[in-house]
Amino acid sequence: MRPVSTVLLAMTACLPASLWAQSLHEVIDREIERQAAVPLSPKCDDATFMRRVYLDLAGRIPASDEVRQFLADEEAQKREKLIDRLLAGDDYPRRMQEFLAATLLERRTDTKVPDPQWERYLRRSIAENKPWNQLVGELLFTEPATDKQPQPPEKFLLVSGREDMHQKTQDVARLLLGRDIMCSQCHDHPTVEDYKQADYFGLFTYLQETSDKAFAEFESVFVPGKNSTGPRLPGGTVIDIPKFEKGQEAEAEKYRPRLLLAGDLPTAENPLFKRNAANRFWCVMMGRGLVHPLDLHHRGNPPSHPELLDALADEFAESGFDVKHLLSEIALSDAYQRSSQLPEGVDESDAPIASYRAAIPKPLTAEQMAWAVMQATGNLPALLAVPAPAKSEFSYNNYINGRIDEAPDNLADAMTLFVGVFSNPPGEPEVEFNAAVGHSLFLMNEPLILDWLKPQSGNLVDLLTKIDDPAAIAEALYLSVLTRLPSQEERAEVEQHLQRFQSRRTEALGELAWALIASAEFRSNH
Amino acid sequence: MTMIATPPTLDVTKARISQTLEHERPLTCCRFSPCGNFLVAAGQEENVLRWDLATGNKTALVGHRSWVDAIAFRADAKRLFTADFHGTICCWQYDADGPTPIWSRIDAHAGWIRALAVAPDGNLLSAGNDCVIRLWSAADGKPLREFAGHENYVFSLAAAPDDKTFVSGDLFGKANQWDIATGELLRTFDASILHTRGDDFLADVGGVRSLAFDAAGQLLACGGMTDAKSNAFCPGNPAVLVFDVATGRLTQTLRPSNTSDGPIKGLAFLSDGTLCGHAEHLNGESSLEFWDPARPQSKHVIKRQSGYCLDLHPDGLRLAAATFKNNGRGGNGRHSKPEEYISHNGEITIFSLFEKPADQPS
Amino acid sequence: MSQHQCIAAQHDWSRRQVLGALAGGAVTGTVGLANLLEPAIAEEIRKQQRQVLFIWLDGGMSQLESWDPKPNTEFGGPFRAIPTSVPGVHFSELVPETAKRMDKLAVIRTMSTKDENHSTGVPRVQRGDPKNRGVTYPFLGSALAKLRPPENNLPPYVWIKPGRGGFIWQDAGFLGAKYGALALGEGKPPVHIHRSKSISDETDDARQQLRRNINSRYRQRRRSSDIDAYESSYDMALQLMQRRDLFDDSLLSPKDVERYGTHPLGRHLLQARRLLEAGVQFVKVNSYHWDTHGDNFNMHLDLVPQIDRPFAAIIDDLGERGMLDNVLVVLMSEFGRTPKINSRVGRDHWPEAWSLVLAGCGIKRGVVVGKTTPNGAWCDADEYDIGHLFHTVFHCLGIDAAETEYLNNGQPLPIAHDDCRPIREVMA
Repeated sequence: MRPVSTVLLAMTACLPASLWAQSLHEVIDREIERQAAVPLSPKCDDATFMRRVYLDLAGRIPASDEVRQFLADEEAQKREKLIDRLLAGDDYPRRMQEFLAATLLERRTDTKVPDPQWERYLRRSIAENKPWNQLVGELLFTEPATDKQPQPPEKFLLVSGREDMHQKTQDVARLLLGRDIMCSQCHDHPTVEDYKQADYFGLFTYLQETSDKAFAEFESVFVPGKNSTGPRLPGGTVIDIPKFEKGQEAEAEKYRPRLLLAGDLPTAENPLFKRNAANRFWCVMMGRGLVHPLDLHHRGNPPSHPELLDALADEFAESGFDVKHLLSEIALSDAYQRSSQLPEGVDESDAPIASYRAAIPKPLTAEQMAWAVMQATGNLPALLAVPAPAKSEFSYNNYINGRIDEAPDNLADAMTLFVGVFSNPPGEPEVEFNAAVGHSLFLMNEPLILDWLKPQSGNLVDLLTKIDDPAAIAEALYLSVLTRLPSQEERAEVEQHLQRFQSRRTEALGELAWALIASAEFRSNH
Repeated sequence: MTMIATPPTLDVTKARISQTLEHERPLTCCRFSPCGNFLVAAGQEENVLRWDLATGNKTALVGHRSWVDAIAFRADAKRLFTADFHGTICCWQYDADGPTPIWSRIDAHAGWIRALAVAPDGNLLSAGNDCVIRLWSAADGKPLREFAGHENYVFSLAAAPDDKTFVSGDLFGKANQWDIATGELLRTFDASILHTRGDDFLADVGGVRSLAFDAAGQLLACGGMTDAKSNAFCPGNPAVLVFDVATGRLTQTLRPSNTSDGPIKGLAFLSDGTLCGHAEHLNGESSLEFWDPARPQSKHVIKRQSGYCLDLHPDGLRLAAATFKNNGRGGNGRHSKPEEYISHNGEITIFSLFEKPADQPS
Repeated sequence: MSQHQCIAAQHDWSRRQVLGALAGGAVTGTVGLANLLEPAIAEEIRKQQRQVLFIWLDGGMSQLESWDPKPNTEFGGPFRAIPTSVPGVHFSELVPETAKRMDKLAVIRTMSTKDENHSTGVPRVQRGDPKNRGVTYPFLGSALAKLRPPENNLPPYVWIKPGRGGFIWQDAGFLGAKYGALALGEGKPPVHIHRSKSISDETDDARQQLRRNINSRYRQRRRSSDIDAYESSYDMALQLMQRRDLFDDSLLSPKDVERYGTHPLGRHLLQARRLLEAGVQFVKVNSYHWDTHGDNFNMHLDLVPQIDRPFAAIIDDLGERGMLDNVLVVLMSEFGRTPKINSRVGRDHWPEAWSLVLAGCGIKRGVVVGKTTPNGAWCDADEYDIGHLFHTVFHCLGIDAAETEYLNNGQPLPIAHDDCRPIREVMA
């Protein structure tokens, strides 16, 4: 710890953030460092940073030449410039669409809004950096088109399961307000004091379609007595919905509760909304929510860094819910760029995860795994070259159960396969690392994976067969798969392996590539 | 209450409670006697209860050893038939002072008997879990005939006004019409939407829980619920399917205006062709719904507790509803004192289906 | 020499023998491991570590419609009580098969627990409901994987459940993801359990070794939990691949299939038996939707036989194989059901007095522990909480809960609730 900085930090900690006028990424580092009060890991090296930020903002790993270029670049601001480049690039909207779709739909499906429409809608919204509150408002309510066709944002509430009002209420509360209120449907939550049955039905009522349903009666199974409520957000007041007579349909339309919810929930004045949003974007970049689990905001589960969450939420709101700004600021911080290796001499037990003393590794999502494996094995161009069929015959279930023999030959179907393997069952959030045996078996035995590791059409193994020098092979391998250069030990290992299996060199090359793909290092966004 | 000189006009919108009969345990089945002087009910205990409607006196009919959920009357010879969950049928003279069974038949069925109906010839039909419907001699309970064909529990029976046939409803939503004389299965009304078996269900849920013919025998109503969500809470959408007897076709699906989550078990046609239905409801109020069977929306609603059975008085002007009555101790009761942990109650509400005469005291 | 080569050969041999035995027209009865392996090895397996069969009827089976009937009482419902093979002990008429095996079982009728909710109650019960020390305790299967690491190469904690499988790292609590449950959806093995023909043993060994080397380098100064979990998933995958015979339904005897029943719980309990025979240390079998708030009697009429039949079958089979001395059997829910009947003719949650069944390793046979009041609503004496159950379980498995503790980041933690003790009456 540098003594001068300690004094400075102590002084600045007493000043309100607005007076200090630090940028958000500086506030992040200040708060993390202040609370950790112990040595933190240094920043990670360029190769690690590059892989991390590509995965987080582009949803893929970089190609070898991109890596070489970045490592060789001597520009002092190269990291900042890379962040800007990725946020402005074409991969960012796709990456965020994949993340948001998985987070908001939780792998639930529906047939009313075709997936391509939904994806296009999300990508466009993300590319134009649509304010987050506006996007959420659209997801909560968008007027159907005149032909009654559902509009793309309606998919959020149309996916299977959410036609049930209770599921709808619970999912909206979890995903948009950060509260898992399932246990407060039949009574006040038994263990979370803040989650009341009245709040549950306040939200339940807010999600109704017509003004005449804007009223709910409920009774606790533990406490006798009838209760009732109109639409109300937790911590808010009941909104007045007038009663309408026949002939007043046009007026009544203005008071459709879900329409009103779309205006009332995603606002800067709703602390639950902005805190939940800030927390989730923090988590996707940093590997853990400041409030964790992400859907358990309540007084008994305070944020690990309360002032930081306040600062993130407030700035996010004040910026007009500018997502790119928030992600950029997080990426610029030392905390984001910290190494995931613990400081020298520090034991795991002294570095609790929530201290951010070291960066928290994040599991690759199903989509990231797909892109990473395709990119790493050099099969992406070939998959892109095959146009996706207008209506694909490929289904994950049919393929896995042997009803289809044909392995996917195009990108879209390959994606479907990876998502089928690596995603969680519908309705289960994908936040924590799930080391499922099914994943390992897939990487070990799936014929498609093994095929990708055979030399074909300029893929990685194909290129490797054309290199003689083991050192060059090691370099090409590690750059392509692990986005870094190999160590001396690793080069030696490659050489030994090729030496041992020289009579079957091509297969040996495939084994080397496979081992890297199957490694914990690859599986993790460290 | 005695019959009044000029019968009043039936008007369900003016219906009001004219009598309530209370019991310590829930009553799930109720029937007026053909003479109109008594109401007999049974439910979650072994005794059958008989009320003298004029005096309000309650008599216990002792004879069963398990719950009773099936009651049928036969006008001549003043016969009452009851059946229980051990498969026993008892026959009584219902107006005797301290009735004891005239005859009883143990193991009339293997397992529960869920429904009884008196055939046109005065003999007794019974049905339940062993899926076989049986016809018994009313005089002595000797078995007369069997009607086999159901593949799941039979919940309901109704003798048709044609005096030749009867209908039985089962868990799969099949309502079979049988020729009483020959035992032949004539046809099946398809009420299968009243049955749900989701992929992850452990059991079938729903069934044709109630059956009713209109007076002319032109319409057959099947009560139950659709779209059950689970075999745990068994919540569903209460419904009555109305079939045209001549063609066998479904003409209307009736839904209550007041949302409930259980099956429509109370079902009765009124003398003007109005159909009344009453569903169960777990954590809220249920309702008696009155429909014109040609229209899906009910025309009148009376809120009432979770209900199990409806029966129309022979005078056509009174309707009895057997309902659950909460004993005032809410929740699951785990924090009550042991001596206060007692069963919920039962109530038979008798509605007078006409405007209260001006000269009657309130 | 690669560890895997030895074991691979062993299992290849036993699988060949299995197929050979069937091809040779051998017994139509069950194919027990003991019949196939060399006597010395069979003996070794027989004196192996203790195992657990944990059957969970999720939602709360009604004790009044199963183990503690109160016919002809205020709350008893319409079902009869029937005698069991132990004079003076009666069960509900819905469990006739288990009634015949009561002489092998122990029934506790006075479980009295705190939590009346599923979402909190289920994990609470399965984690032993210890004193709150601010850490998430492991589920029983994970706990045993840690306390008694099995010596075989099989996954220590397998969970057979309806629906989807996967790896349930959450069960492991503070022990770390590696101790999670391997969930087999519908009892089926994970897909991809068959190794591609293009990969020889040599290739597989080579690539796995490379992978392990890379992981051991990556571990340096990194938190171990995720890496451990990932490595475990590969180890487990390899183990499963070697034992795919355990999932080959063509090896099942039709008589067994018929005895257990073809409904999910029947099939899953038969699959559980195979895994136990193979030596899996902890097998949990779940059935869902026992939470009969509505239509309790109609539903229990159909549900209870679904456990009665296969439970009786598995008790018979474990007994026949001499496995009841080594396998502890637990059959329970998170609570019982209210004596009071609600407006949907259902029963609600009742943790005040409910029943569970134990059998096997260390358990006394043919005993009933505890008595409920005549109306079935309360414990008349001898109330037991989940902590007592866990102490009992650990004791039967040869683990002294008073002497053993976890060490979590330097914090010593009791393995079961401090204030509870084993239930003496139920122990042999």
